[in-house]
Amino acid sequence: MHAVEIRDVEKCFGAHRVLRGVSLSVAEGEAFVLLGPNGAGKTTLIRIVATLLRQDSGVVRVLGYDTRREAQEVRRRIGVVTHNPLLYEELTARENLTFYARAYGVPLERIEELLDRVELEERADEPVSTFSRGMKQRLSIARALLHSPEVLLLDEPTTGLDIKGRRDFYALLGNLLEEGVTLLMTTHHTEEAERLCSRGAVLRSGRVVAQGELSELKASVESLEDAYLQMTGEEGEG
Amino acid sequence: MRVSAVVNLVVKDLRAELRTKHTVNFMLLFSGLAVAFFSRIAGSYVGSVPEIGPGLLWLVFLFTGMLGLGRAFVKEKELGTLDGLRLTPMSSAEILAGKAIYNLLLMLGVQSVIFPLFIVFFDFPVRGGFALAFAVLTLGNTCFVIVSSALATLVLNARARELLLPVILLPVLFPVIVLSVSALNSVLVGGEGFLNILGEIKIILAYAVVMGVIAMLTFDFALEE
Repeated sequence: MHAVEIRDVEKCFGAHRVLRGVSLSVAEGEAFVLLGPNGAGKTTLIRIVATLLRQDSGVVRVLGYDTRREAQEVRRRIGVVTHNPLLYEELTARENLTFYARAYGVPLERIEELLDRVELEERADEPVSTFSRGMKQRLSIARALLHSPEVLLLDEPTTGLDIKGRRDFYALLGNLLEEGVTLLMTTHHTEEAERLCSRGAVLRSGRVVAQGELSELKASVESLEDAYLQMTGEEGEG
Repeated sequence: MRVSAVVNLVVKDLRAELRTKHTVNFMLLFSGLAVAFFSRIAGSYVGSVPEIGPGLLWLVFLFTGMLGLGRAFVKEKELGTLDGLRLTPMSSAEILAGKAIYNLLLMLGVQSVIFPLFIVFFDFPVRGGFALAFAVLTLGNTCFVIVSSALATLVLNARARELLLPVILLPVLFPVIVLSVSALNSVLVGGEGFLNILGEIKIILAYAVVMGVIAMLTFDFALEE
């Protein structure tokens, strides 16, 4: 069974077709990256998989559950991390996690475990508004992991992070991958994608223009970045 | 519907609000100023024609509520945390109920301060029971909160949502305001008891239930982008 299965997904916003027959699948326990320029449809696709948007046609299944008909089942099994940490700035880190833990029906002991894991236990009782961007993203990971999801969806999670913040973040994702969590992520940073992911797809104007092993995608060129620029038609621009 | 999930959401919203007090301070300040201005402009008329008093009081609640109550959803939308809420296993009914109860607590806080202030500022001749009048006002505000919470979700994805909400709220609320003002007049001015205003109470209750059910049925659709 695939962790995420996307078949012939179409999505329009008004007259604008954002996704045009997108199909791809992510195996359980693998890290899969969606690459593509701004406006390619990566975020829309992630939001559809996360049950936050409904596709116009096509089928999306997460661990066998249909995202349209079995959204609640899907939500119990996924964690979502976006560039927006989905946290309440006025509340402390512990209060934020307590709120989400209760919403998921998770024992509160799990909060301490996760605060320790993302190295925020010393700042746990301070308002999130005082946190740096990197700390907010680490707390966002803790929020997303509260209910021990089997699939983690990451939409440009390192936007705005400095080099150390990015390195810590990817180290955390690496540990999750070792534990068997499936990762489906979007990023602009091809070198980071290479470090973590084994397979990926390139989206361009709502279509999958290439997918497979990252090593295959970059076989004929110098680097994944070159392959990405060729496939998205951005080479030579700007 | 899980009561614990609703309580969790209400506690979270109250905690966040009490930490900044942005909305509650604004609502109290605005309603206090409105009562003071109305008493200066129309205070003498209320003395001779007390029937206009409850109408003025409802105007204060209406403007205060329209400006403050939509914030519960709009803030979540603007901060992006609405996605976080929708990703939890909380049902639409639980989210809507939590937001409506939080809004109601805000409105009851305002009502507890403004209603006595109104009586004092206008030197209003209270002929009926103060407690019954307070209960009638609470019922009217409960219906107001349910309707405004429901409509706030419907306009969430609109561009000019904070301008649109008052425009669609007024016509939908019209029956509630008319009935509530009528019941308040009967109690405060006419000195009548509970049984005499039972008809108005039943209709307001029925309206609140119907609007609550419609809100829950349309919630998921309303949040779709």
